[in-house]
Amino acid sequence: MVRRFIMILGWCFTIACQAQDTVTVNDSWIQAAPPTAKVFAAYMEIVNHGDKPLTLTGISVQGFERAEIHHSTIINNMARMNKVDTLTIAPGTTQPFKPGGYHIMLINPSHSLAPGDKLTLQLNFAGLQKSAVFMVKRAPSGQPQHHHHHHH
Amino acid sequence: MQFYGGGIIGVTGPAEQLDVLTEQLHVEYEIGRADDGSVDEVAHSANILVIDTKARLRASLLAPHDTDMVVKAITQLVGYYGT
Repeated sequence: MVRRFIMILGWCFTIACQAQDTVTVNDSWIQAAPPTAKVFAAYMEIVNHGDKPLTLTGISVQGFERAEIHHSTIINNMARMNKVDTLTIAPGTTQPFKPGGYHIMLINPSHSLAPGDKLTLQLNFAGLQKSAVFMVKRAPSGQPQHHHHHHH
Repeated sequence: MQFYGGGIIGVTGPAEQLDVLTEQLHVEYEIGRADDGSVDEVAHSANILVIDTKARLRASLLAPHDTDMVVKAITQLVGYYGT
């Protein structure tokens, strides 16, 4: 019985280590927005260190109605932002989430966020989960400001 | 709008009233909805329209917008047309 428990414990530890080893999240931040904002945009880099594709299937976060993966583009002078259900990151590659590209939309907060606040997001991948802490701050100088679409 | 800067003014209103303005300025926008009615896609013209204090359209700056280039263009417009 004890041996089986240790084996299960070891198996869980192995899975946890795989999650830690397979994916890392860098430069995670949330763009500060007015106190009345109904949406916030979160950015980061996801690195897939594994040898298999990694599929981001969703985001879990407390204090918001929901979080969604979005993609912004400007093509033929039309700025477009659409919801993305899943995003697959190839093995050995880094997927940026940045203003003007992929980003996480945090929708309908229960309370506002101010610069300096920290928020933990859980990234749900197919087969594993990863938590990352995001710092709220103003966009670095020279980066495009996120267009807040208040009708979400 | 004060969050973004003291000189910025926001405009909103019913779609019918906004369309009167957007059509005159040749601004396009689209809102796509999923089957459940939620918004899943938003699109709009990405150009910056420069309008003078007498409501005359002076320029349309196409995307992408580099901050230094926008400042240079508006400075040239003010120098040419005045404010």
